[in-house]
Amino acid sequence: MLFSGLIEVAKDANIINVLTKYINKPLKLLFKNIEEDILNDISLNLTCNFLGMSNASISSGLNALNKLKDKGYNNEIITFITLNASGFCLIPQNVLSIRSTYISNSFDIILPTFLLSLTSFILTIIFNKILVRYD
Amino acid sequence: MISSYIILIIFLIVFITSIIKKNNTYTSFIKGVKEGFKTSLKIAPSMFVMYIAINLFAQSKFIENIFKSSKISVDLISQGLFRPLSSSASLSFMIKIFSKYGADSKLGYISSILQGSVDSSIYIISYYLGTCNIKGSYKCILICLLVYIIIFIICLIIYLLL
Repeated sequence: MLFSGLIEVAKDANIINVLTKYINKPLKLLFKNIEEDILNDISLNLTCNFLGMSNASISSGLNALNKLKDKGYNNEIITFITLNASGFCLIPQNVLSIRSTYISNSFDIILPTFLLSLTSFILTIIFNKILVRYD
Repeated sequence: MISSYIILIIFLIVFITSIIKKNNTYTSFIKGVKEGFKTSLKIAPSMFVMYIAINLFAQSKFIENIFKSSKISVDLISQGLFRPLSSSASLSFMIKIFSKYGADSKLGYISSILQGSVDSSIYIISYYLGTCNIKGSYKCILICLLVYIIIFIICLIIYLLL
């Protein structure tokens, strides 16, 4: 709830538009023929997930899903949900905070964690492409 | 240090930009909070059902009895099995590993990497699809499970190589 308030403030202050403009271009390669406003919702959702605010991403994700469902884009629904669920994250905050209560040097996991979550993101895209092609 | 402040920094940046641009910061904040409240009411039933079912399974110690005599620690295996289903259940297994073997140990290292690098994918899929009433979700679950299994195997390989 707190985070959706934050997102609303950021929307009004034009921060979201600037952020999503850069993300929309690579996302267009994945979601080829969908409208601009759905793409904005999707990129907002993925950005929130990437920054670790998964609570804030829920409402924009539900918006995007409802629009995709109304237009009947079935493959795009699968791509969007699996990308969302792959958990591509910059910093694993709750793991780090728990780990730092046990030991002082808790930041050694950041690099391997980032590499592994990048791997899972790329694998999700590859499997999506395979599934769309052989369907 | 930075990671514990990152949320606060994001909040400050957003609020200060909004004040500089002379928007109605408080009004739009309250409007967003209202919308978030509506969303959480909407997803509450499907989340509640998943939560109850997973906790029933996690508390029953069914898995611990099956994998009693394996080479790799039982706690790591049960954490791996619960990771795609529920964050909190696998987090409790991670804390168990930390207090049993220490966070500095090989097991603690691997279990924190496993906890951080993937998300509770099946849980996310079920609440999105359940809230929006979309059918035919087997493809989503298939993709996410395949990816998760590969990541888990990579983690186990790192554990055996270290």
